[in-house]
Amino acid sequence: MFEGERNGITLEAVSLFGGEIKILDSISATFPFHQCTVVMGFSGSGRSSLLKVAAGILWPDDGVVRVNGTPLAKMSEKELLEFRSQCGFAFQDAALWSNLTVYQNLLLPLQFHRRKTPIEQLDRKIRRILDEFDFQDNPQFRPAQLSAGERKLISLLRALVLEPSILFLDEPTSFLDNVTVERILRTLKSQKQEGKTLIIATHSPELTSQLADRLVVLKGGKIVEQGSFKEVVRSKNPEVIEVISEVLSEAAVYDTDILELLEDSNTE
Amino acid sequence: MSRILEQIGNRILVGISQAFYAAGYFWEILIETGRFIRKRQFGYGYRVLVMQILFTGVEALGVIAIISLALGVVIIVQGSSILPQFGQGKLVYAILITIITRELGPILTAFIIIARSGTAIATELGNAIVSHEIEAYISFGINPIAYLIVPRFLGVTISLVLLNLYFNLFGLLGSFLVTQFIYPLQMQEYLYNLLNTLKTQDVLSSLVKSITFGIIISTTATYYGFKVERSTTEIPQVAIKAVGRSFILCILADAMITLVYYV
Repeated sequence: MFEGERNGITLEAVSLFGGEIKILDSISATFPFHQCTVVMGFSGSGRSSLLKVAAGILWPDDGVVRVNGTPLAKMSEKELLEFRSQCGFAFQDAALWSNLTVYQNLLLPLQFHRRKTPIEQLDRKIRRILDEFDFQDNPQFRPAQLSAGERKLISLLRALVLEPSILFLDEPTSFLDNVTVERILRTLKSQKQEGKTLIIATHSPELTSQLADRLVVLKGGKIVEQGSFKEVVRSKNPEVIEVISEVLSEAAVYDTDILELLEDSNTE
Repeated sequence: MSRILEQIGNRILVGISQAFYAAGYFWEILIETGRFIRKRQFGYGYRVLVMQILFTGVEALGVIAIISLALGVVIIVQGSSILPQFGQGKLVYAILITIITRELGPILTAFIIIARSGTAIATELGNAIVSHEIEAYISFGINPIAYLIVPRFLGVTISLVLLNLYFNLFGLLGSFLVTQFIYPLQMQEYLYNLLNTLKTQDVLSSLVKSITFGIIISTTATYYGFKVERSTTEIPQVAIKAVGRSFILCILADAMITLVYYV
């Protein structure tokens, strides 16, 4: 269903309001399948909202969101469920279900989408994924008993547990230690190699430089630039340069690729 | 003057749109409840239902027992000491049925549930919205109404019916036993007169009231819980609104049902 000629998620003149404030202002963007798109922007620029609208979690007040050309709003209940079963969303603030344990947080999506799979098989899957990411605490803990970093990790694991083909990741590496960030980076790289679609909102220069095929630059709820990584980074648009250099200021410490590209674009 | 009229007009329009929204919300709950009952739910929904009955029903047994016992004892003692002086001793049974079964049983049970579960449900849902837990359900295609609301809707309604029955048992029978220590009555005579006074209409109206109150409380609490948009400071506000509206709606519904049955 989600493999076709118009291969991707497209937003057409999408606007979103939070009360009287315009969070997204007539945004048109494309998130091609099998590629990694990184959404960049200052805090409060609307990156999280953009991801949620593209994932069909928030419905726009104006405009259309299409998956392979089909408007999300016109999908049947069954089609929408199928789309959602192929999506995994890791929230910026983890958004773990507070009345469930860590184990139940991972089990619930599996039980919902794989009702006929024996519980032992689901249990093995959860144990494997927790081991893979070296989750040290008790899986019977509630989210409130975990550190912020652990909650972020479990949120990411919950997004991965259904092995979705489209991953929406909102600041997936914030609050995490370097070892866990490395592990996540490896996982995301392998997801990308498997042809999964990654749509990531991040400030991380590491994630951006190592994963991004495409960049979408947001400012004040509007897209100032979008395109391939190199195109956008070489853009002469002062707003793009401002956003990228500000957002990725840490790149000077961690990574030189982006700065080099930025310098290239400045000297050209 | 025109500004005042404009404001009044705006308020009316907002009120109408909110009424339509609430009606749509209730309709959605009914549809999802139908699906839930037809076993299209998955295991977790039933778990939430059991937990809701446990919280709303089982944990409220103590307070219901105390209130119904005390109320029954007061009616029996007062009625049995005062009414015979006017040659109307048997009226005590009619008063017991009217107060315990028809009126105070359902409405007091509803008030207790509003105070306990109505606030808890509105607060819990409000918190779930602020912490984006509802969005997490949506992201997996789990319908929050089917998974979160329907079990609470059924749990509160079932609990209210059972608690009302329990209130009646304690109010009518338990209070008789307690009264024995203060004002001894013949058990056979008491039961005979009580059952003779109790009509099907009384049982039916009590049942209809408790079902209606259960529906009102669960729908109002969940509706206001979902009204929270982004801030934790909104949560106590919606909890207060949920309680206030539930009280008003239950009292209005109580009056209407009484009018339908007894006028």
